[in-house]
Amino acid sequence: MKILAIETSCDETAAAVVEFAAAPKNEKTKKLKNNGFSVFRSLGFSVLSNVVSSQVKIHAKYGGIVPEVAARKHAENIIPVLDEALKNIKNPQKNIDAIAVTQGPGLITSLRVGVDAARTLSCAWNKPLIRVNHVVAHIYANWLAPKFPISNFPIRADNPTGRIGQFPILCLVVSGGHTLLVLMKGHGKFQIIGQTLDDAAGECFDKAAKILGLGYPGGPAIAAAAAKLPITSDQVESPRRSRDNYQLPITLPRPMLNSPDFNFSFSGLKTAVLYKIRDMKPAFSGVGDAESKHGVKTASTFITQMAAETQNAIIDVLVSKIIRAAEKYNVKTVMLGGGVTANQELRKKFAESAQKKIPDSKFYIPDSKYCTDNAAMIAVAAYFNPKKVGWNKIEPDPNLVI
Amino acid sequence: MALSGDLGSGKTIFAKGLAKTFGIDCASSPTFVLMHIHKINPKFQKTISKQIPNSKFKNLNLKSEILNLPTTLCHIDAYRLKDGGSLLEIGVDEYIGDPEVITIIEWAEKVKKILPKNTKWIYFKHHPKKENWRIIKTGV
Repeated sequence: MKILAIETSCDETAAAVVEFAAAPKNEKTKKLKNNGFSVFRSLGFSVLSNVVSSQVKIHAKYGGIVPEVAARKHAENIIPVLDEALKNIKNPQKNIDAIAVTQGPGLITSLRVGVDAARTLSCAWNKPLIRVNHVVAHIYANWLAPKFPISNFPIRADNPTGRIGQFPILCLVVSGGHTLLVLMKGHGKFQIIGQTLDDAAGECFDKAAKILGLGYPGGPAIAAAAAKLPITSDQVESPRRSRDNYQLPITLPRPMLNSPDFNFSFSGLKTAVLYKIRDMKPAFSGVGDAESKHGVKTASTFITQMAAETQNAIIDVLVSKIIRAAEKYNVKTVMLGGGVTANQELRKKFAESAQKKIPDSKFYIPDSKYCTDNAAMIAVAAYFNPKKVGWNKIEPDPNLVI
Repeated sequence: MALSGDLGSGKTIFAKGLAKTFGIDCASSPTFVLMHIHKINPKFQKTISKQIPNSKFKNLNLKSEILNLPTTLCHIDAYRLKDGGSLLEIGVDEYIGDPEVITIIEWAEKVKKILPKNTKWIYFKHHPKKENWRIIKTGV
């Protein structure tokens, strides 16, 4: 079965074709009826095409996504992106079995372009249309490993020992618009056990980067600035100190780190960054090399340290909450998903903590290219959660909940 | 209700507090999707109604009519918008000016042009010395 998926929830126009097939005959296959779709117990799937046209450079000059620019670009890009995704599919009208599309959450003007394209194809080709929740799709990105000998649970090709996950699964979805902890007891059975009370983690990266003058998008900008850390004057003086043990002279708060619930709050962190910068400004004005009360020598060192500490603060809270939730709900599998998951430091710290503190649970992190918005994950989510909808019934929903 | 002030000056917290008075607990920042629509529980409409003494009205039917009890809270964040035109594109004119809807807009100075004249303005400022203090001014 081939699913054509379309994703336009934010600033990425994406289309993908994913083929789901029964595993070779010698493997045990078992069909299950699931809303009219046949689900194979053991199946292999492959991403036949995965096209993403990002507008990030266009929005960078505005310091963030400008909705009407995004919608206009989606409208321009959607046909070329679909053409590219279908380029190697023979007779797509005959061979595509279903169309999947992101219904929400996201920007209404962006969502509409994808939904309209999907419903047009569904009507013209007479194919079933499946609506997908974007946040759910970020969880299903975990099923997309470099190779796909995949069952109901993710089996990573880079994990040849066959570490197969099991329900219940706990997934942390972190992106520019979302920060939530989702407990998943089965396909389609989602429960939100924690979420952000104000800003999303990705939004905090964006806003902190803006305050620090590092540009947009904030996540990669802060990560890049933080990576310069070893070249601080302190470390040159004492090269023995490894980067991981390097004690930053700046401390930012870890909001809600010790709160008993699993909610997040990142608004205060952004304000703390703002105050640190405001306090430092007098020290740097005029004198390029003045030693400040924080013991920081130059403005650029200060920005590097601020970036590193901002990143640490966000990651500490995220990792600590997901580990604690995994312990409390006694889950068998832990996953990450969403654009912020592409952050290397987060991946590293999550893997270290998971190995150390919850050794009995399997853990997964999607391939970097499937962390950010893409349509392949939409296809996989559609396959496991086939919510069919008439082409004349579907409406984009910017505030769609799980 | 138009909120204006720097990053971290308390606009979202203010909006969250307002939402809470209407029984909406989960109002997070709508920076990403620009607009969150919350339905107000009828139970809380009654609470609001009770806070205004009946004695002020001769006829109780008239009271609910005059008060135009809100049914919806529309929370908008204009942080990433260029101007009011882009806000109209996401369909805010359905909400702004509707007597049954309370519309609260953060970074409202960016979309000043499209706001009605009777908009209530609230200005937020960081306290120059005390980190946990904010200066809040109301205007017309």
